[in-house]
Amino acid sequence: MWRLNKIHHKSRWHQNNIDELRLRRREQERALRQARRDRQLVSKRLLLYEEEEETGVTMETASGEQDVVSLLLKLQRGGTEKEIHLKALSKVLRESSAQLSFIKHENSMHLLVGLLTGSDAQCRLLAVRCLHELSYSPNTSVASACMPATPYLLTFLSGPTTKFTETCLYTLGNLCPVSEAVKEKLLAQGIIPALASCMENQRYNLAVVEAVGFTLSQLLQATGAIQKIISMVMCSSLPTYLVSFLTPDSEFGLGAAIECAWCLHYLVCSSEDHQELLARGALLHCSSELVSLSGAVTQGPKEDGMELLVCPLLRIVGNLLPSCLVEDLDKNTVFTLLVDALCVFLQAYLCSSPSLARETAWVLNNLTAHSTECCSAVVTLNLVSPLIQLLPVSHGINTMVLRILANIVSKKKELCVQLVQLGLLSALCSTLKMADQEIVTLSLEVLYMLLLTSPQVKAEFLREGGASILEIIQYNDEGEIRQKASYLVDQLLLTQQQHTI
Amino acid sequence: MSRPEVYPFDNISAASGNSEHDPTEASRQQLPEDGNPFSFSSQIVRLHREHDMFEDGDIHRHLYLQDLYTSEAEDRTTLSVSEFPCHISGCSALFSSLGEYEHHYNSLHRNVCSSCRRCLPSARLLDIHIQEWHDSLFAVLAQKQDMYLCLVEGCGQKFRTGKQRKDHLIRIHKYPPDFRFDKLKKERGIPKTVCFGHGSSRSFRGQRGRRK
Repeated sequence: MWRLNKIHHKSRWHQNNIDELRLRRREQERALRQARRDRQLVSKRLLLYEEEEETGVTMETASGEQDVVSLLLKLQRGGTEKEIHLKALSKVLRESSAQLSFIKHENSMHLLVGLLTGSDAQCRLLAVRCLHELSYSPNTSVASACMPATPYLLTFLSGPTTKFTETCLYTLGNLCPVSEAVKEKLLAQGIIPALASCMENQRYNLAVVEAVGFTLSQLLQATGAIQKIISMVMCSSLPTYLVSFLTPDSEFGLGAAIECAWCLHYLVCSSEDHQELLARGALLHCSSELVSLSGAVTQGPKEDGMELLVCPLLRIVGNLLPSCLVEDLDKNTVFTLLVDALCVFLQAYLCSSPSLARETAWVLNNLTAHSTECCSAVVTLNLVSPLIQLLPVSHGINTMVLRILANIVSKKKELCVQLVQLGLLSALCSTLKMADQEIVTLSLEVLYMLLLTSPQVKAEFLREGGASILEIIQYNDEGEIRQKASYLVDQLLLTQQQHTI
Repeated sequence: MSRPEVYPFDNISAASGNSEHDPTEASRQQLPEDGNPFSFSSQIVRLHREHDMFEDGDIHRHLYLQDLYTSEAEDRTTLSVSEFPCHISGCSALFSSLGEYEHHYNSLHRNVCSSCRRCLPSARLLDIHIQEWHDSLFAVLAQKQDMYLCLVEGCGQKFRTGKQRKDHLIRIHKYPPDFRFDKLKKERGIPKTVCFGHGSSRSFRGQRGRRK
């Protein structure tokens, strides 16, 4: 349902005022950051009604308490107007007071389940709509009240209908994080095999694929029993499907790819054994997808929401690289293309999204730490100068860039003279003066490796005033830094003495 | 072919600048036998789910789930850059570019008199200051001959007293009467802009040495 050719601000928040929306977003962001610190980062999704989506206007909700009871009574009586009452009920249930009324009313859920499983197709759809509203509630007791319906929801996942299935999926997805007990029950009821068969049956419908991805991601974000969940998922056909849906669709947009990518990210970063995922081509697919997306970034104005897909893909690649054999990296050209793609992302996201730029640099570090071919690629693709230009930028970016340069220097000593010509030594003369101790340390390490390569490099360094820079560093607060600087000063002095002999 | 060592990041924010800790290495203070303190090796870094580096991306993901995502980066602050510290002991100034740092250093630390901590804008004025204020021989000679040198480079004229030089500066060279670097000795008071760092680059003895 989130057709992401273009992400637009939902007016669900009853705010057409852009400033109020911004305020809401800022508040929500604060809440989310705190939730993450508490390891309680969880979100639910609410489907809009068709008419809401079309007009872009959310409907007014009437005060619900009285209506709930009267609607339930009408529904209990049965008759031909069930549909009308159910529709009214589903609208009323958006209000929290109505929700509380509902769960307090005797046999309300039993009634709803009856309509959910009855012979009237339209009533089924409306009944699941009601459940969906309840599942979205932040109130645990309201959401938990949906539990009697879940076996049916799971059964319906293997059915052929799309809209209905979507609603079932998002309802289940909202229920997953409600509590440990709810999650255990869903697992026992077979939610993972149900998701797998749903994905298989409905793989041509990207809205359903997106919904499956969302529900799975809710399970995979769990902290409790995560290893059990992961092994269940890995035993199913889900990973293969997840890997195959990473490309944005020209009509449908990014939605399905985003959910599948986040699922894969949670799978990868929650375990250390990645052989299965590597065997199913996860690293190759994610890498080539990143290469395609980098092309899109350079071509036109930034597509709305692309970062939401680039981010998990980067993380998957970054965390899969440790499990990969170097030979496999070196023999596949996609990784040298990936080097270029990563530099494109670095430039593109540097200002708009510095933390994404930092994650990009992390992946490039892992690539160059692992593969000598990738180190060469950085030089042959003329990416050294752009990297050097990033060295003033903090936020963790210059630290990573220094590591990348250090990887190249240590693995490709024959390229050091070229690196010096491209300005690496001058850049180090600046970074050695920075306040950040980690940067000074890394700069000294790179400098050491460069100085070892040839006397010309030593001479160049002295010409740039390197001796006085090192002298100052010998008074640094940190002992290890002083040690390193002193060692280099002795090395340089040795050379000078040799020259005077 | 072997793989390089895989290191998990400590759960320390990368932006905090803490050094990465290698869990397998013994105490870093001990040098290997050849005394070489350098130990860089390529490190593949694995990041676990809760890592700080993943925070912003996770937050954006959840804002998107809650229909609050926007691709426009509002609250966009200017790109943060690493800072340069002044290395003079006692001076805790920080700068966001080398140019700023060098300007600070040259303005406040470069030509500092080690006797009275006054900061002069040039080596020449520092020389003149040291001679006139801290050289006892100068005081003796000044009783008999014109010793007060005009401050304008190239003029070369000398005067018997500081006041005469000051008048000359005002009349001939159009200097303001309250020129800061020509305070007569009896007006001495520490100017507010002088930084009292310990790292003076000049001293009376050093000057003599330099003249050789």
